[in-house]
Amino acid sequence: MLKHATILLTIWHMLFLEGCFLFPSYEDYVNSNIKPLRLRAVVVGKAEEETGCFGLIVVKQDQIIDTLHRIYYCTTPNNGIWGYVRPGDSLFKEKGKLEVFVKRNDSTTKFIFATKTPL
Amino acid sequence: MRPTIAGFLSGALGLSKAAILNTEWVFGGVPSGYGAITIGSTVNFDEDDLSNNDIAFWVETVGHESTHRDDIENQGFFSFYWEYLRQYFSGRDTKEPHNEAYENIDAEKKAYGNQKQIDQFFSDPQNYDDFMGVLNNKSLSDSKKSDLLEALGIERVASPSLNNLAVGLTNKLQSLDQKTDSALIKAINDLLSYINTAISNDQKNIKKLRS
Repeated sequence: MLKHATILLTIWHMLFLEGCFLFPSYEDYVNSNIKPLRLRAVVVGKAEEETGCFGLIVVKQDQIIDTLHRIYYCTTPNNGIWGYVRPGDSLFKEKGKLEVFVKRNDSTTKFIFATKTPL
Repeated sequence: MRPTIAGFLSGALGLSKAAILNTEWVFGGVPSGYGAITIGSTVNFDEDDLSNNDIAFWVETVGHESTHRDDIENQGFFSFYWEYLRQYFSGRDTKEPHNEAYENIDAEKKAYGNQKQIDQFFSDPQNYDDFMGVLNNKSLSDSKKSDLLEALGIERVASPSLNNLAVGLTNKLQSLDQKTDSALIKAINDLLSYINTAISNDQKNIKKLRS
């Protein structure tokens, strides 16, 4: 019984450590791929990624087409930029920030890119 | 976990109510950069999310973790985590980056797929109002709320998914050749028959739960 409990505890800790150090953190992805971007872009399109709850946004900036991948959208409304944007919207974001402003006609809506996903 | 939410998730996603209810939900103890993690029969939630009162966000997250709980109950603790880690490291071995290897784990694909269905449900204002109408109705017992939300989940999430599947299969049938694809045609017809029976059973369940 004690041996069984020890094995369970060892595996639990292994999994927890895997979760902490080995499995990807979505926050790491956003910090390396989205946060450094400076955006003065127009939305050209959007689509769902293969895995549920992740989408991509295609933007045009300085005549160059770029794609923001793995935008997590099963989240709260203030993080829900992927669900909100549509072609023609303008995106404004400063380098090193997660806040993004979406300008549509005369209104501007602020979102914050989500950084956490369930594991 | 409130039985009402368990009822909804059971109806919408076909998850076991027992697996959802026999889960200990603990705030804190979540690795940095994550919102929640399931270890065995315990789900740890991010403490920062405690201040979040968005019901759709919570039900979606609970749906994701409950999918893992359902799989753990069905497959067994060791089998589930063995396969989970095996698929992750197999992806890493084929040079997939961290995120891709993680997103390609079958258990995560299923959990995110389920979470997406709940997200789509709540993105319809009518669904949101109907859900909250039942949840906040003080004249109903928790048991009745659970039944009504289960019926709502079947009607607005599970049945439409089955219908979409049936439409897709019917379209596929029309593109097949009777002579060369006869085996595939038979398999699809068998599947359609099974789906139609399931849809019919769903309708009976909805009536029963609402009575």
